[in-house]
Amino acid sequence: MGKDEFKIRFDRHGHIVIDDPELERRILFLLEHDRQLVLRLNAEGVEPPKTIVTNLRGCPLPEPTPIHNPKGCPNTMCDFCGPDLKVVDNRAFTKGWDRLKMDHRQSLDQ
Amino acid sequence: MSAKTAQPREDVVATMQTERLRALSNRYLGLTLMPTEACNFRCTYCYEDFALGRMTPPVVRGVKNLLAARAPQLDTLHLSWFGGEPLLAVDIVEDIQRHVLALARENPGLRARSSMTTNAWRLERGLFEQLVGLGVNEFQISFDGPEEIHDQKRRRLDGKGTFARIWSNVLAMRDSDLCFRVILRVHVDGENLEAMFGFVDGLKAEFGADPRFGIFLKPLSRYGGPNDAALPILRTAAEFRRFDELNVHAYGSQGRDHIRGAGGSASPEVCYAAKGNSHVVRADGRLCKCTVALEHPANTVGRLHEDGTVAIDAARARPWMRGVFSGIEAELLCPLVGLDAALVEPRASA
Repeated sequence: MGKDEFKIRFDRHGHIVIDDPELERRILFLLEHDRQLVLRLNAEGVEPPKTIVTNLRGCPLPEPTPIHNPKGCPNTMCDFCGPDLKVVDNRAFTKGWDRLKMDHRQSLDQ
Repeated sequence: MSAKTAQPREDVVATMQTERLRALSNRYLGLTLMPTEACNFRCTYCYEDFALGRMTPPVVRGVKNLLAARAPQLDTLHLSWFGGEPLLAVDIVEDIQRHVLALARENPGLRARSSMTTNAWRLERGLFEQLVGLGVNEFQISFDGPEEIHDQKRRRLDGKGTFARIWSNVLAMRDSDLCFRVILRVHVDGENLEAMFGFVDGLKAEFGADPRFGIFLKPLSRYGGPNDAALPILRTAAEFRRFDELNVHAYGSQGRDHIRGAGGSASPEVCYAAKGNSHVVRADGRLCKCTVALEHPANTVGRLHEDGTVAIDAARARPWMRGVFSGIEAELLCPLVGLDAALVEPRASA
């Protein structure tokens, strides 16, 4: 990578600081748009495959799986699913997620 | 991602995959915490020296202060409990997890997840339920094969076997109604390879219908322990072909990634050691990158202070992060491989 490798350092709270304002702006831009896309898709009831993002509040059960409390635990016992429990078959969704993200990245590059 | 070619900087950024970009995000923080580096097991292949005991109180306070300072800006906090055996210092786990739960309540945008690599000796039903209640709900638990083989390799400090108690604890987890995830890590070597076919059948019979459990077949490796030279690691092409057959036997047509489940991602995996926003906190407050090469001279990159501030030497951290910049998959998967060469011949800014 040579001269193209990023210059980074860490501040006193461990934040990564990129010592190139324009480069940092570009990376933050991409990260923020990726984050906004995730939030928007979740708002639309669409979840990413495998990597669980927000509305399951950290439920670690694997995806794809047809239901997130396969043992039938009542919502009151589960801090993760609770009222946000959703039944999602992500197998059909995986390709759509990848395509959406690719489209989004391409739109950023135009 | 295979060629290491110089590219215009903007193109490098544009072609960086999301997972690599996330390794530079300050909205994510991953901490591997070692509440104790002591262990009640003496596995024949272990690479740790157990020289450090419990995490000191100033380091515990440092962890909590760091988390409090970072939480308001975080989308995701991932704590990985490691050791030693973390359940030998369960009071420290509980202290920090309660702090995390409080931070999550104060910061609704924060998604906190906690995982634990444990030998499961102490993971009886009551403690397991307590941990899940504290937010620790992903576990990695290792087996070395059926009982008669496992007990020869995965032994207690006094030399006695461990299989029966671990197995009992894992079955009790299965029988609970809680939401959690377990990766059953199975070490495969030249001695237990054939016996693993039957053992995997047993795992599938007990856990195969429960999506909370996944199996991870891992060839035994030499990680620098005192018995490395004698370890019967897979060596021959025939052994590796048989290991491939074992994988097919275990995972069938579903594919390995599906069975592994937790942590799976559509993108290539990026090791925590390769990420800029992930650190190992040792019991004495040293900040490291890798949990395998604990005593590698390049592993310590900084220190955590009691007030929650850190001092991280970027020049020491950058060689571990080189895959984030290069996109070379091998450097993302395990930056330890090739690290010495990267240190000898650093790239321009590393």
